[in-house]
Amino acid sequence: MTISEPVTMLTDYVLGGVSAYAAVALLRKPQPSRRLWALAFAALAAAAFLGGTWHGFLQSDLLWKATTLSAGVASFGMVAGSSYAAFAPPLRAFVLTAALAKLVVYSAWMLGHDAFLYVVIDTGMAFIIVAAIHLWKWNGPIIAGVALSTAGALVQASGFRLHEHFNHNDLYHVIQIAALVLLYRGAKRLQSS
Amino acid sequence: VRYELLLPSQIMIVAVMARISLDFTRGRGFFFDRRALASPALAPMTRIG
Repeated sequence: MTISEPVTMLTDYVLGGVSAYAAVALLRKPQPSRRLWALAFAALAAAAFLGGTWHGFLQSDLLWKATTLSAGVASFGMVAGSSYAAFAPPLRAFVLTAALAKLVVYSAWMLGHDAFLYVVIDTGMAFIIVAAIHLWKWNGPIIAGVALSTAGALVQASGFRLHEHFNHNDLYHVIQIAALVLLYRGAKRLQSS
Repeated sequence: VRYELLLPSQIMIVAVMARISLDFTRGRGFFFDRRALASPALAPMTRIG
């Protein structure tokens, strides 16, 4: 068996493991906004495991589509979880509906497009909303996680590689792991308004 | 649409997310219920962390 991008696969799998742990740990003390963030982490775990498999074993179009759709669900979960923590009805319902509408548009767009750029755009839009919510209703770890994740996306886009066997995707995954830890610590603090 | 499974999968995902939004907006329903997201099989794992 040939593994085409072993380091990218491994870093993706570690990212998936950390995300899955965060999802399960957030369900330890179930509370609505944390459960929606748990959904986001579970979807991120799925995206990372699927993406790792795509990089390592099977560069199938369908596998890549599943990866990008999982990332869209993660964006939905993050916005929904943060809005649930920050807003009371009816504003909460409005933001949840907007997050759902964003997911519908993203899913429809990804039917005919494959570029990772669109995943970054969708996640970036979600991060802008999440950051705005938590700048208003302060949550330092989530703000720091969003900032670090954004830095990781810039590194990925730059194509920067540390080593012949440690490219921009690998570095991106490692930065995302650190960002996920921050996002998890912030999500643990959330209480519904 | 290039894949026969893709569109139905996307519709199902969006439908589930819509139901989650509805349940969380109403504060009741299958997905709002604690046991729906922390099933008995998952419960032991939630003790970690």
